[in-house]
Amino acid sequence: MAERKTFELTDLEIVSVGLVDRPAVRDATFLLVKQEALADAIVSRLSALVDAVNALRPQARELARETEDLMASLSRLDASTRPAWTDPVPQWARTARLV
Amino acid sequence: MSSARAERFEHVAPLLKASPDGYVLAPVLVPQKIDEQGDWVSEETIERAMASFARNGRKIDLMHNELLDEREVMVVESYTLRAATTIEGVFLPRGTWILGLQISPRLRAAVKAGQLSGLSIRGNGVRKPDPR
Repeated sequence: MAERKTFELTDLEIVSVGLVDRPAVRDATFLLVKQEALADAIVSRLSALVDAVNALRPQARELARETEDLMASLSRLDASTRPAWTDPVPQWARTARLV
Repeated sequence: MSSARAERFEHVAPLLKASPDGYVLAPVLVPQKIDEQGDWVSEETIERAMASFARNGRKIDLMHNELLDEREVMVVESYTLRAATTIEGVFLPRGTWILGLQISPRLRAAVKAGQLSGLSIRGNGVRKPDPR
């Protein structure tokens, strides 16, 4: 049979002593341990996400810079070089043609 | 969980004595005794834990939900045993932390009805894998 793992508790700082119903508190203790483990897992995942977002920041900055350059190039294009179909057509005129 | 980080813990001990006039007595921590979570404490740690209880205002709560004031409960004894002894038929080794409380009629009724049957410490500490 596997030997039971034990732990030494040290540096105890007592916040309070409770008058308790023993079985109920045993359940609560178990819940507390489980919640703590879950909280640790969530914190760990959030830290990983923050790291991933931080790693993406340089790429995002580069993309924003490229987009600005493209927009500037587009605005410099002469309107005459655009195909005719790109000229805006008033909504009423389009409707008239369809009828 | 990591081997030596501060964490919350709870440890429960049964009431040894509950007299009709509202006096209850319990061993809060027993040295070297392995609890249900596999934890144990040394005599030295118990001494320091008892001091921290005093330093933090000797707070007593109900089921760790409701802090009780002096109208409900009063700490009348808090000490560690200087020698092994037997109380109400229960053997207690040297270094055991004993707590004696005077409780209100409301709490007395709950003890009598079996709704309150132990003391539980609540706090922070370090949990280390046992080298033994």
